Amino acid sequence: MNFLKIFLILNSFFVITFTFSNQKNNELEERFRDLSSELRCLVCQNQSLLESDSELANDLKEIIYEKIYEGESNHQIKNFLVKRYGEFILFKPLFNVSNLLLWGAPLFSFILITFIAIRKTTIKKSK
Amino acid sequence: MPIILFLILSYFLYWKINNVENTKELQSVLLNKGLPKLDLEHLEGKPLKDVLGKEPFILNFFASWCAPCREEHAVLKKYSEDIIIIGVAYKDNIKDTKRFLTILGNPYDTLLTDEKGRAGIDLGLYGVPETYFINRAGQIKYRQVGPLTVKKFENIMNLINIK
Repeated sequence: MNFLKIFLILNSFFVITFTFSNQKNNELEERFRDLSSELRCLVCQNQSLLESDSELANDLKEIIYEKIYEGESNHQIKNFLVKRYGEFILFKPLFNVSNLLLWGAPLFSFILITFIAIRKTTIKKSK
Repeated sequence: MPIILFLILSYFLYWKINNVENTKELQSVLLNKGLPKLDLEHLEGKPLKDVLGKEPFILNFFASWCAPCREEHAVLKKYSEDIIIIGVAYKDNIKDTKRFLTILGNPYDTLLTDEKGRAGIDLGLYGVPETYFINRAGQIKYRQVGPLTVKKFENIMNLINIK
């Protein structure tokens, strides 16, 4: 009877641990997939790291995987790669001063067009 | 007003097209920066620390399994008397590297190995062959992706004047 109790306790402990570690692994796996799909394969034609099977892409994916398991954030991992391969590795450019024109162009065009349109309509009305 | 905008935009696009030539060469983000600390195993010759920051040198990543590296090898041998060349065997078996150098000749003053390719990644390496031109101050002045030819080598040396 005692043996059965011990067996049941150990078994439930094992099931709980397994479920939690599996859930955690799935979360990390998902993070890895999301992150590597945001990064460019540098030796391929417009493929992400996730999609690519090139040697360089596989090496970089291995590093990303290790860093995720070591607890580094996506921002830290991206920084690590940008320092070595430049912003070209990111599909989405960084939001910083050197990219101001890139990020600001749509808003700037919208303001400019609105300004021209308002000016034209007020000139027409005054005529 | 629209004509001015049109002219500004045209000039901007013209300027961009004219600068496309510059993007053909793959520039390194480490250009004009010091060589980062690299996890490389020493095989032969002077240690890297004895050269770095004291003499200009060339850091050449190669592998015995890489066909373009064989082509490039003759170019490196031609200039091995003129400048210090440090070879890094990339993801290669030491026996194969040594056999490769015995057959084709050894242009390297120092031979290092990057078995797992991690040092390559720290330098932003795309693949082999890849060559870094480093000046006396230990700064990376040029990165050549792909095999060097005599013409390319001379152009680079004239362009950066690392000596």
